[in-house]
Amino acid sequence: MVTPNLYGNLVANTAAGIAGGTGVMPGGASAGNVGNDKLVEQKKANPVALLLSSAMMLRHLQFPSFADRLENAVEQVIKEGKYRTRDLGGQSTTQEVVDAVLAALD
Amino acid sequence: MARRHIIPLLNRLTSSTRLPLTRSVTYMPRPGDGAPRAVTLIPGDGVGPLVTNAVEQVMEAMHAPVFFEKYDVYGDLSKVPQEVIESIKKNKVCMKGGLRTPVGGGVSSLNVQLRKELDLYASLVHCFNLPGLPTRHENVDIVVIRENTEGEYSGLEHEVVPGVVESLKVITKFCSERIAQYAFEYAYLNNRKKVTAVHKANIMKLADGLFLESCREVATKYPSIKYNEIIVDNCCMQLVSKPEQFDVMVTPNLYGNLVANTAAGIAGGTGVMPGGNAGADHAVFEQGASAGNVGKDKIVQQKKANPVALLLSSAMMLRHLQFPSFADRLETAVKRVIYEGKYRTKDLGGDSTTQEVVDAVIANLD
Repeated sequence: MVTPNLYGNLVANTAAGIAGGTGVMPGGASAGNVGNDKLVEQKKANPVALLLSSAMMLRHLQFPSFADRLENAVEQVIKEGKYRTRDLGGQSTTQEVVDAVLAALD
Repeated sequence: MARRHIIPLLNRLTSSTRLPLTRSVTYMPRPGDGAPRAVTLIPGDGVGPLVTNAVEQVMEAMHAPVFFEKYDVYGDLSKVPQEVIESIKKNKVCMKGGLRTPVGGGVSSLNVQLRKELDLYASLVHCFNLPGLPTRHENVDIVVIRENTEGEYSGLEHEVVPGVVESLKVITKFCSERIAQYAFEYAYLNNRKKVTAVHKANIMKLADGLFLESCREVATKYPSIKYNEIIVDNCCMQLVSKPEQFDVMVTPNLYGNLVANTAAGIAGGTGVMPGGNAGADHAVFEQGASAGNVGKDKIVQQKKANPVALLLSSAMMLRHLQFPSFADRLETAVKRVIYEGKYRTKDLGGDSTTQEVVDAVIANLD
């Protein structure tokens, strides 16, 4: 979808919302990107969106193999469902998700 | 993850066994209240004539004390004919189908013209789950109150130099204040608990900032009603993931258009949500959310447009005209037809024609 500025802001956030929330979409849906104080204190922010965006960054830097490894690890963690932050219905902290991703890397 | 789904599931199970009941309420009339009222009727374009005719049939079947003065207005006219405006000013109440607005070109929308001419500054859309019509979200009951005359719809655009266009969004304290007042008054009169203002004041600091200021001022006059604010992009995201958090929403013009259609979409579609436009002196009732109000040619040909939205809007109109018992009968009949699920148009997953739905509603009237 190609949109002017404002409509793109709204459409991107809506589309992110129906497919899992802005905590997981790579690229840049802006809602919730600063988060609320409680999330910061409890260290329960969802790192998935930024991890997938960093995979996009690795491809941009022309390191596709690293990008693939990172994406596969993140997808595996989400699929297994054991380590998920609150916005995805779980209770994990950011560090727990990160540790799970690290463990899933080949 | 499973925990979160149990409660909506329970609600769905219990609500599916509850049939919409008729209420037994006595309204004491004043002598002369039963005199028939004239209502201007504009069938409009596309599916408009089909669905307004549905309303006419049902009103006739109920022997409702309204009669329609019909005027043909088409979207490709340059302006709304003066006689139509006069009729609405005389009758104070109008029911209309959608008027087709061409994209681009120099022709301004007749829908917008009508609202500005009659100063119908409040647009109201009621988005809610209908019993028997399961959607992805339950517990949706949102009323979107949208400023209807200014903002991004000011129609003030010009080409500065070839290839560069400037479009003016005008926000005034006057309009913001009165729409906020309407929203809080609506909440107060309808026992609603919370009003949420939708804005993007982080970017449009002056325009949306002024809107927010006006909302905040009015909020202080209604201390028993909760007030909060939400940025429009977050709002869109929340609507499609957790819509049960919203109650009454007050918005400037464009965001209201989008929020109303999104809210309608999650709760069953624009084919079923009622709504209307109100000003200090007049009210125009039409399909609540605007998307699809003219419909596609195929639906017009096959005569399969969904009349539910306009039927429910006509019930709102009957209440506005102070005929609450007729309004209740109409709403109950429509909700029963939806609940039974036998006669549904394509947008609700069925295959019925408009006439089949109308016949079912008439059969269900007590």
